[in-house]
Amino acid sequence: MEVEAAPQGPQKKYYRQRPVRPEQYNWSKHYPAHFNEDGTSKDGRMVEFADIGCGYGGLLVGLSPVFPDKLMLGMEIRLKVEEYVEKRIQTLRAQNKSKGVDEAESYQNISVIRMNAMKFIPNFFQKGQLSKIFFLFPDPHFKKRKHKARIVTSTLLAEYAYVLRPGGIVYTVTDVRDLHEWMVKHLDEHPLFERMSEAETSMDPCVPCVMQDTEEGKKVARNQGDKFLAVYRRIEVQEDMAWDGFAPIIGGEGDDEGDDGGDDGGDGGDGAVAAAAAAGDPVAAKLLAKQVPKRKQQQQQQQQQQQRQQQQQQQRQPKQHRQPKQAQQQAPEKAAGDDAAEGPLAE
Amino acid sequence: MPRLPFHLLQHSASEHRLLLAAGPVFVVLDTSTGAVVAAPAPVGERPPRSPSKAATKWIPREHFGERIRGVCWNEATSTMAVSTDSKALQLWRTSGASWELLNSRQTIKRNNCVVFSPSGSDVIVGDKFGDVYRFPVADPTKRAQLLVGHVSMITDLAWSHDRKFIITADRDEKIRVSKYPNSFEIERFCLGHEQYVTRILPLPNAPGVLVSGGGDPYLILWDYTSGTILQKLQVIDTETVDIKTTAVLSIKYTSVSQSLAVIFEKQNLILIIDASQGRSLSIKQRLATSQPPLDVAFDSKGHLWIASHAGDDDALVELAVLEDGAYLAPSSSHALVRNIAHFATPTVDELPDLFEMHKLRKSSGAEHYHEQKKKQQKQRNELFDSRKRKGGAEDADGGAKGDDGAVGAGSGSGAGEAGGEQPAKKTRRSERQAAKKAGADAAQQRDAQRDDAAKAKTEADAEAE
Repeated sequence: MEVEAAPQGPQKKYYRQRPVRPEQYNWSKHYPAHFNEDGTSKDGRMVEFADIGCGYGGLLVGLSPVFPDKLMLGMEIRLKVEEYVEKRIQTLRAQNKSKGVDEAESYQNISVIRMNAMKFIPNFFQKGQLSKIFFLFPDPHFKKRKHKARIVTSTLLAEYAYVLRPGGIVYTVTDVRDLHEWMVKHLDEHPLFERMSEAETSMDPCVPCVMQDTEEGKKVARNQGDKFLAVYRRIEVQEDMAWDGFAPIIGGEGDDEGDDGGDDGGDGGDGAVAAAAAAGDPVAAKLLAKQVPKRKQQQQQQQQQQQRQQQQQQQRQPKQHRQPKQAQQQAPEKAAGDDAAEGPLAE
Repeated sequence: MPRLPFHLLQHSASEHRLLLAAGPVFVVLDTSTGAVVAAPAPVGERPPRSPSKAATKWIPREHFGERIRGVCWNEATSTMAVSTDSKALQLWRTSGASWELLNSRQTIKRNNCVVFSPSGSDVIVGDKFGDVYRFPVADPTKRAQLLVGHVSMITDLAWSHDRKFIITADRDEKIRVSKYPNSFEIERFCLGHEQYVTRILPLPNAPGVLVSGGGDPYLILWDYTSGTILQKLQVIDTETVDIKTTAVLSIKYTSVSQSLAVIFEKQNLILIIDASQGRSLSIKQRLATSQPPLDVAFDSKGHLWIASHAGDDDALVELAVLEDGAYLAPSSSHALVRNIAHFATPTVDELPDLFEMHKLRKSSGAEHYHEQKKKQQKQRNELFDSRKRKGGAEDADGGAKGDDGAVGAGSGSGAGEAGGEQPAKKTRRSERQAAKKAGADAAQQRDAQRDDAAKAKTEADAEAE
């Protein structure tokens, strides 16, 4: 019996962006000033700073002149947002062509990549390669069921500790008190991290950047919201240290749903694209901001109200099923507000 | 009614005992004599007291719940751990004349694999949520301790040779080597698989060496202390076998002939691989089987026990005898398998799909998921259509314009230009629609977006007024 050959679709393996092993990745398209086209390094430098969930790239742009000799990479899962940061960096480089490679504001030391950092960090960085990791205004994942999806968890910290060298630093900033407490708890519990004192962090030139340079941080400042900072150092521990395991993140009583949740992992890519589209294309968002400034103001006011309600709710009751909805409503505003405020694409 | 085949075989490392699991029940066999050591008690009658079966322990049926997923022996403490589909983790005492259930507890999520800690005092499970938990054997009420967490499901667990590391494999191509007991510290990632990993096995005769297989057509031999690949051994011929329909189902080792047996889903084949070199593998023998094997196990003499996906009249278990360093063709007529080959396993109305590993593949395995999504989308569209018909007239012009924009958004480019022609908020909505339906067929997609755009247009008109 003859079977008609079905037309073959594109094969995923030829479109794969992430390398199987970190040494296979060609960084030249990200840092043409530091890498040759064949992927070999010109100056022996590797990416040292990772901004996980870099959003619109405010931290990268702010930090670039502070550490002109360090390579920094922003990781963003939303396709459109990544595209925006990419264009932003290209524009900055073009505007500063006259500057030397290592000179401040040449912007040759920053780049962005679209990836799921929770899943594929070890595919990009070798053990101990990074000296700083930033988690700035990460997704709060209010629902209890979604807590495992938070970017800082006891188990994921093992992966961050793997790519961080001893002495490396983790920065976390958020405007959600609940999330801040969560991150502090998990970092405190992890034996490979130690909180840095305020005296130490006050000397750190990164701290003003992480507090002020991100788009999200500016938005929070405009709304006079709180910002919570926690800075931790990657340390080494004694081999024979006694340790009893972490407390389970999920489970406990009544947490019975989603037994096949393992399968969710498979569709992270698709979900991310949807999220990217949902978060909005910067150009379109900007247009919206231009056309309906009134609506923007209204939204901002609404959002402030929502935030206040949110905080009250948190204090009052643990039942939080309404909050993720609010977070979604805020998302388009975020795109609109940030892009209208600044950005090299502004005409 | 079809009967369940044995889907899981686990031979004890130091005793002549083989556990065979069929659905929710298990049978334990003495592989030196072929006698049944323990079996589920027969239903509705008193256990027979014939001299030949005098040694058999009858296990009360109420101890069996749902399908068994993982089994592990611990000879030193005479304990055995069994995990099931219903998240139950049972611990059995296997010593002496008795065969009793020590305790049973619920794990947090469904488990894929179970091992004992080096001391035997704890049992460690890897689950579908990607977490690895430790439970004390003696105390079923004590809270689980979280040792390691992956972002995708744990498929297998193993110990390093010196037991100072715990090795975990996941669906995201990764093998992770963490310190033990201080598993918060990752020693190494073994990166090289391009598909999910299903089985990992440290080679007992080669310290620091691990073999792994999964959805790739090759096995990888690793130096797991450094994460380097020693060898990639092609085991599936992708010219003749569709890799999407199969996966490495089981890898077992015998020290008698220093060989590995490897089986694949839905393949009537057992590969015997020479592992005597330690740091390199070579295919030694291809054993053809009449039915696709579900699991294999070596006994203490190096003979290979094979559980087949057998029809109702076929033998459930076959034996490939080791003779002069090579395996004879599998047969069910050997005296050792006489008791088990036609064992009365439970019957079911419908046989479950016992080949589930290949569904871990992300591109093809998610078909059912995409179908479901398509269905939902269709329902949504129909609902929307009906509302729109009530709502008012369509604007053909606006529809066509919106169509272009939405398609651009779907392909991930040109969305910005589209945004210029229409109010941005509307574009964003159609984009979201488009992204959601990346997997849906093109015609349906276009229809839906035309609908969306039409709605956008009517709304825009209304606003203008």
